[in-house]
Amino acid sequence: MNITEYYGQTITYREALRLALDEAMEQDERIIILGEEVGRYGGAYAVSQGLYEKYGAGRVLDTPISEAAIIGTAIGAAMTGLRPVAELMYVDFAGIAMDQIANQAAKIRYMFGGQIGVPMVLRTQGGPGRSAGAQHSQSLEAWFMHTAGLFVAMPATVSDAYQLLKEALQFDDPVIFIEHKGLYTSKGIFEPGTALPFGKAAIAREGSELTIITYSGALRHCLAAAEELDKLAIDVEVIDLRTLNPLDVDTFVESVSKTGHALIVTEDSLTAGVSAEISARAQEGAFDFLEEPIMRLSGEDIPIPVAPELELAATPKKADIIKAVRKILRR
Amino acid sequence: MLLDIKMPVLGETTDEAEILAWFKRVGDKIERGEALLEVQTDKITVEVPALESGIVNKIIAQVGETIAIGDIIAKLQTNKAKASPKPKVEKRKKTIKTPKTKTQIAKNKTTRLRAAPAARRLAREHDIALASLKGSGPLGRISKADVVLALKNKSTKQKNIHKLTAIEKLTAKRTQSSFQEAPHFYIKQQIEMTAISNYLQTLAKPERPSINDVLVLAVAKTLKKHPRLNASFKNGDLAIHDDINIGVITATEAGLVSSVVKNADRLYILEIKNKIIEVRNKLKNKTAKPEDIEGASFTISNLGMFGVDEFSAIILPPNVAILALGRLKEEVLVRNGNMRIAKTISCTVSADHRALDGVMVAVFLHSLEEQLQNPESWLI
Repeated sequence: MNITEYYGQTITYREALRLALDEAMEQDERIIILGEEVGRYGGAYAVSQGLYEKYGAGRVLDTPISEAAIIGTAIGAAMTGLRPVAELMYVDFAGIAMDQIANQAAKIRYMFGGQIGVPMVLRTQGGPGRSAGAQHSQSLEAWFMHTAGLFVAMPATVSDAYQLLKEALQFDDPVIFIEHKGLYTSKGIFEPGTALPFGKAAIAREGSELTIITYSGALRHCLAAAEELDKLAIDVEVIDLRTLNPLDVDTFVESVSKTGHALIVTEDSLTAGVSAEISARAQEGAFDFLEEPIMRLSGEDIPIPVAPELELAATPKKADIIKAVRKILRR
Repeated sequence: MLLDIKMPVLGETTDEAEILAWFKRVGDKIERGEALLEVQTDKITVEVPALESGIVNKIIAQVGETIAIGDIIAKLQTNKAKASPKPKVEKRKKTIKTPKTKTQIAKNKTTRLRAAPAARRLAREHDIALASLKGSGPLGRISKADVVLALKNKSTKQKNIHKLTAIEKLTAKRTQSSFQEAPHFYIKQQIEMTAISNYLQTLAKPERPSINDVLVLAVAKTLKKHPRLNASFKNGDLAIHDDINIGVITATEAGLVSSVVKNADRLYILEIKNKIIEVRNKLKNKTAKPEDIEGASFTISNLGMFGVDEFSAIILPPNVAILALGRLKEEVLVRNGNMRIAKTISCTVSADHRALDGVMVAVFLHSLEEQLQNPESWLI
């Protein structure tokens, strides 16, 4: 394949991920894919479509329905020389594999005195928006962010999906790569770019009065809200974190110091969630510049309902963001 | 019922006060005893507590207005029925007559100042008292915008504020403590300078000493005979100094300092002249060392060059006296029934009565006059 053919083209988030996988597999034959339905079926969300046909059953492995086995196998393969991409069909299923993730993948480099690592990329997807129900709609990034030893990437755009996955495939340590089920069909111009390092947030929209800090699926709601707010002459900056570990504290602290106001928008549940961590860091770094308390807009502390109206009500959307911004600025 | 809030009695001699800040806005709830506003009299700044619980109904007097004691400044909606007004009035009077000072209130205050971190930072950087501001935010929180507004007002109000230099601050401190601690008394004498003046005229110009130089030497020589004026008052006793170090008050850009001529009684007049010029230049070039400006045992302040006839100065501790010199002027002197035109200078000694008395200073001045009448013996 020739990646340059896609430069400047409008492609989907799903295609961007596939391009990253395809290109990396061509360049590095240690990369294998394993997971449920990733081969002949092409992946539950069709990310790995065509790769089985291209690289064969030796590099694209359909596994039994056992998350612990998928991750355990990937860890073993990673420790013995391969660079596996393990797919968890839903992040909600991580619980079954959590010992493999948190106690094995995350700790092996430390337990073996740095002699060996786990160059595994765990691709999975999360988030609400498709009426998938309480067991298939969660945003569990805080679990991984809370576990030392794991890198966590959560791309929100087409270009970031490609760049961050390409970058993840270079890592010598485990990366939890969480895609968003609501973004697979989202489109964007595929921009040629240099490799995007982890830990570098994007200023998705520049503004002067208030900083919205967000990532993944919530970014589009924040940008839409910022457009609406612009019509009300409210100038909002939007920061896309891109990765949660490493967390680009400097960028959002600088922004909050500039605007004096911060709203953190996440789709995971509010209590002990990612937003709490960001809020604490922003407060520590930008305290002297804060004009109002830092506010958080996150998912309700409830199981995500299956009914579309209730699901919508349980997570932040454009109207909620506008309301929160106006409340903070009292405008 | 609707209760009038009046400007309270704030002291026996105070009949008006300026409103510095309202801590509540119209519609805000207030508890009895909670601070409602802050006012400033000519003497103190006081927080005025609410005398009843209720809701602020109307604010009549605005921040910055000066209001007479007893005038209505706001209205409070209370829950109480209009009954039994008598005891209420008595109670109010009682409370009103004992306004609490700020420190007292701070101790029992139940409400704390609400201010955003950014507002606190800005106020800190610009020396603005947050307590004097009115918060526009929820629950009266002071926002950054409130501080910015106050800054604007401050800069228009205080355009002509001159910030004291370090030296000016030190002068302020020293003269204040001196004037408060040392009981000053003043003795003035008109001293004839004709002989000195005539003698100086005979000297060539670059080397010719000034009247001031001559007086430094004359004073130093006179102090030798009157050591009690060349002393420090310390812990209730007088420390008399062996060395006679004359400080000459010198004006610099940064403020007043003493140019010190050490052991002036043992120097030739030209040495004194040169020393004074040297220190003045050092002060101008900012190269003066502490020994150039410290350690005076007696000080002379001369305003003669500005045409001042006479004045009195404040003693600079630990000195016990200071000599203030006026200008050299021509006067008609009457001596032994004859009158003649003479040159004179007014010498005023300010002395610390803990260390000296009037006789001592009078004798010193008399001695100085004698010294100045016979320049040939010591000036050449």
